[in-house]
Amino acid sequence: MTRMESNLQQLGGSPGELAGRLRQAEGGALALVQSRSGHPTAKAGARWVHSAYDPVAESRLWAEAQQTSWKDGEVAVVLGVGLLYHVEALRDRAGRERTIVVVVPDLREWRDACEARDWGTWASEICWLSGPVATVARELAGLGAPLRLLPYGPAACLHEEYYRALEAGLRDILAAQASGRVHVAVVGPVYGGSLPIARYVVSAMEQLGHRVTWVDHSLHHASYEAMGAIQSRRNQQILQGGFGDLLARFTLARIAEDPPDLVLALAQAPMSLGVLQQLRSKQFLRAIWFVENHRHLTYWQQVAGGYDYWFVIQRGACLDALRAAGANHVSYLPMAADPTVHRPMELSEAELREFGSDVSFVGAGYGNRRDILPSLLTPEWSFKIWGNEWEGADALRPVLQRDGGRVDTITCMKIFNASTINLNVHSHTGRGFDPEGDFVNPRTFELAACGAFQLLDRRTLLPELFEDHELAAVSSSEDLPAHVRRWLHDGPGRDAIRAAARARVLSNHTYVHRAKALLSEVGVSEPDRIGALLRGAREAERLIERTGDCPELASLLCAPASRQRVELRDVAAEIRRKGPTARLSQAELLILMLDEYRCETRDVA
Amino acid sequence: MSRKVLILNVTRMGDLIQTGPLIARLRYEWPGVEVDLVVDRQFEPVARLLDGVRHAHAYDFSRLGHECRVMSRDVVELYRQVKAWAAPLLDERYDRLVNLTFTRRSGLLASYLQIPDVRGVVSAPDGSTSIRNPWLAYFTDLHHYRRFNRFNLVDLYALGGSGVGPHAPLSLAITKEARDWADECLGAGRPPHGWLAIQIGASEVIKAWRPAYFGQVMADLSRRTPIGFVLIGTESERPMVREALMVYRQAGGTAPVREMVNRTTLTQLGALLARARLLLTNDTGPMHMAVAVGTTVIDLSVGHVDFRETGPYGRGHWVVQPDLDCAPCGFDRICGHHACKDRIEVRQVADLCAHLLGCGPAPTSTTGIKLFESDVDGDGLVHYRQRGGCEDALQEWYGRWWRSYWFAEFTGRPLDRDVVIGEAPDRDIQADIFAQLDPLLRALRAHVSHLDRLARRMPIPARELQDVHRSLTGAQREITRLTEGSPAFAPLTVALRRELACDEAMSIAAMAQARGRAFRRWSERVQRVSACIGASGHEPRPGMSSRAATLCRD
Repeated sequence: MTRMESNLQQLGGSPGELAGRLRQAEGGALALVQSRSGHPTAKAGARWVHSAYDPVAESRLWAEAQQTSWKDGEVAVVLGVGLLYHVEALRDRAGRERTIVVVVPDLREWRDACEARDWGTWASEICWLSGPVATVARELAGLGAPLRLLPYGPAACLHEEYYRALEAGLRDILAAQASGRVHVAVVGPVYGGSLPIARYVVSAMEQLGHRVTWVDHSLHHASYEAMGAIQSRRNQQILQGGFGDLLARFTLARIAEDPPDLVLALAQAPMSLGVLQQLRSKQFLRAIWFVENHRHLTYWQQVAGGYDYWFVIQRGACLDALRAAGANHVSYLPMAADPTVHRPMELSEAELREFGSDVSFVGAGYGNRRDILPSLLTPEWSFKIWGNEWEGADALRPVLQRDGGRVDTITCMKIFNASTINLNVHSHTGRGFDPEGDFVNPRTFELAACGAFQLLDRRTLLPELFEDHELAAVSSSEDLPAHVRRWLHDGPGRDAIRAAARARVLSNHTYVHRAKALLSEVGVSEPDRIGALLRGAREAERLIERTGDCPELASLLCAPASRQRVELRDVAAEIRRKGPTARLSQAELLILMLDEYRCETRDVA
Repeated sequence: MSRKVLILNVTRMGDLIQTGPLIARLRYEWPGVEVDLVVDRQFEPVARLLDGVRHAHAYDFSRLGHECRVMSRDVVELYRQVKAWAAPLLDERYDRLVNLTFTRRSGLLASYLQIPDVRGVVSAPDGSTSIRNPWLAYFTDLHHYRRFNRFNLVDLYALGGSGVGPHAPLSLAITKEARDWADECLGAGRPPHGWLAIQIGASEVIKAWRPAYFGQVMADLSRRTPIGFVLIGTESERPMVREALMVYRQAGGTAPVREMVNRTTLTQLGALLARARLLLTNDTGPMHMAVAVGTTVIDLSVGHVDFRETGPYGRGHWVVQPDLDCAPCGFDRICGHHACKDRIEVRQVADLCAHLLGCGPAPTSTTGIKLFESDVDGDGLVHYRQRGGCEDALQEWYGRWWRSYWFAEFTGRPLDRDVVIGEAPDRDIQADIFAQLDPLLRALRAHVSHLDRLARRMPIPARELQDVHRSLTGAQREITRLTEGSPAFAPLTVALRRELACDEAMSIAAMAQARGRAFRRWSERVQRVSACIGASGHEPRPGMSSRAATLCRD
């Protein structure tokens, strides 16, 4: 019997008759080499898939390192095949009752592994999955247990796309299962563009049924501004820095009083590295949605390692830069709209007169806008500019509304709804359109959600968010007047685009979509925490099923009034309700003891 | 069959080291006793150095706290995990549990373990908190009248966890390996007069003398004597050590410095301290460790630290305490000025160090401070002899008096030494208070007798019990008002309040009886105290309130 046949016997009756498929597969994905230790090792192109020295020892170390993250009751899903040394090592370390799944993206690689060395009985104790991503994701989700993804980097990187798609598939399944059970503390900034985003996130989380603690630092804006009156720039910075630290500690104190499952900061939230480290030492999960251009606002470099999860609005260099700065988990999460705020409006005649025009622009007077917008000053159409920071832009003064005063959200919505063409030019400190323009700003989604027509500068990340028939994009600032002219005279074309854009936002790009995506992303990586909450694993019935060798606990879990999510505090509260003449059982005493630990907050704030 | 005792000490390193004399006392009480400890995992190495410990049951309680708080594990996992850990403790069938962790949660664990004789915080059957053993109850009371406390908590641990017995010092067994390591560490370039160890940080900033002052003391000493400095501390204390070093160098310090912050295991730290001639320190775990390895200590007792409670245990250690009305401050107080730290002058500390290193006379200037030297009295209890500065006479008199009183009250025999003779310095004031309490005492006696009778009736006369309960609650309020601030009676009222709050009764009748017992005990103590300090038999001075009498008539 050949080695391959002998190995295939270990697979037994694996699902999908994998052995048969493996027999038919061709090898050759990996180049086999002998390691210094004498064991076969492998390369894929120039890349080593296992150690050139001792693949067995290396795999043992990898398996050992996984033990800290792989919790009891979780199914380990190994990503990366290679010659399977790491799978064997993991199987050796884990108790037989623990389930290990290996996802095989490429049967050729698996065949190489099968021919390279003898498998022991361990291979029969592995659940092998192979096939289209969607199928594998469904099968994994169908296992009904929390999944702990354990990537073996050197092999996993050979099929990066496949595994990324698999993770996305798992996220989607989790998001579809999810219902409102998570307690999220949203920490907002003192002021600035991310402040309204924070409000939209709060609203979205609540719409999803999650509990939100809104740490609203905009209350402190007046004090922050007052420090700006200090003439010495140095003193001003010292004071504002100290004020930021104070607000960070305030956040800590708020969080300590009602610990959330996830602390979610928005860009510019006053969270110092010290406070983030304090939260980490107390096991709080920390995430940030950095809704800023990472090239312009660079403080992320100082706090990259302070968050468990970074969500950013750019791809490519942004992801790389954050990872290089120490961020563990960085994901792309584009901006969105809130249809309860950004919506079509019926305006009165007076409002149409005040806010309406053929062409309008809302925003601050960045350099590129000052450069581009004068080209639109023509008697051919009416033009209005709204927003602040336009000092010195004399050419635009005749069309600047309200003397360059700040425009609030409701006014903004009225302008969007009243304008025939809304210009959406992403900010840039240079001239013309931003040559590095990648992310899509919130305005894009907001205008679309309003059912307003917009002309925007083309962005590299736009095509994956909107199709061509959903938005009108312009590639060069020089072409802008011609596009305005064209669309101004194409009413039906505008109507078709704005309807399509709104439909697209409502189906894909609301903050509710983003909140779901964010939580499921964290949930896939934290199957025992956020993942468990989203799956409903902490509902009374599910908990009772797991009491097993602790039957005395089952009766205590039946008691809490809320069955949706039962936590330690709920069980303890029920026990305390028994009053002063109760004689508590040992189980009840133990629960109260645990709850006393829960209540201790002095070491947090 | 040998006895088994479990000691619950889930606090800090220093508290664990301070458990040593209790273990020795238990072996005196029950020769051959098997003593186990429950400790936090991070201090398990220290538990292994304690003499007479059979087994240390370690658990990561800090992590448990985090997990419970952030709900990183669900209630089933948390429960199962702790239950599994506690199972061997249940199997041991201990004869006694001494709970030296004065928290509600430790009380719940103590009750969970179902040990017949529990001393310290325990959970009542309904889950509320109670305290068993008078010495350990005293420990919880004394924070209300700290200035009159004259018992070191090490003695309270031993008296409460066991009983009266011979003095045993703090002791840690340092391994040869650790000693060799310390020799190697400090051997090269050893200064002629050896090493002075310095602990600059503390677990809380309020407890730490200012780092800059430590730096100045080092610089001063480096000019006087050829000594070297070993700086110890944890990673979180590193900024303070850096500040001290910066000041030291700016002030012209030239002596060798070994910066050992976060570079030792706990055992190595003990060995390092054993090699030092002296430790200059805030009230910290390393202070107790130094005492336990036989190194003389200078304790800078600042902030809310009261050396009489937690100061160095044993003979020949020194304490510097700021002479300030608010020092030591209350545990719950957030101090905005830390003025006590500035009362202690660098020169005074340097002089004391130089004296103890044998290169200078005893300090002569004690302006702004009080200086004490620790000693052991004939009863084997630690006390602190004043060596400089002025102590408030009234405070000192009551301190000594209460020490005698409580010892006699709890042990049934007088102290061999330290007996206070004569009347209280403020006898007339206390007599006035007693005169106001007297009618209240008489009324209380009647209420309590009535309560006893009602509690024995079946069925329970609920309404009448409620009436008496209301009267007693009113009486309690009045007692608190009258005795508040009184050095003669306030400690008794603190005990009364605690007893009323901590009853383990399971029925209305038993609750009523427990309540009656608490008031009766308070009445008896008040009468005994007033007689002892010469406050009985005096008429109230004109103008004093007669509200107590009125209340009693009501």
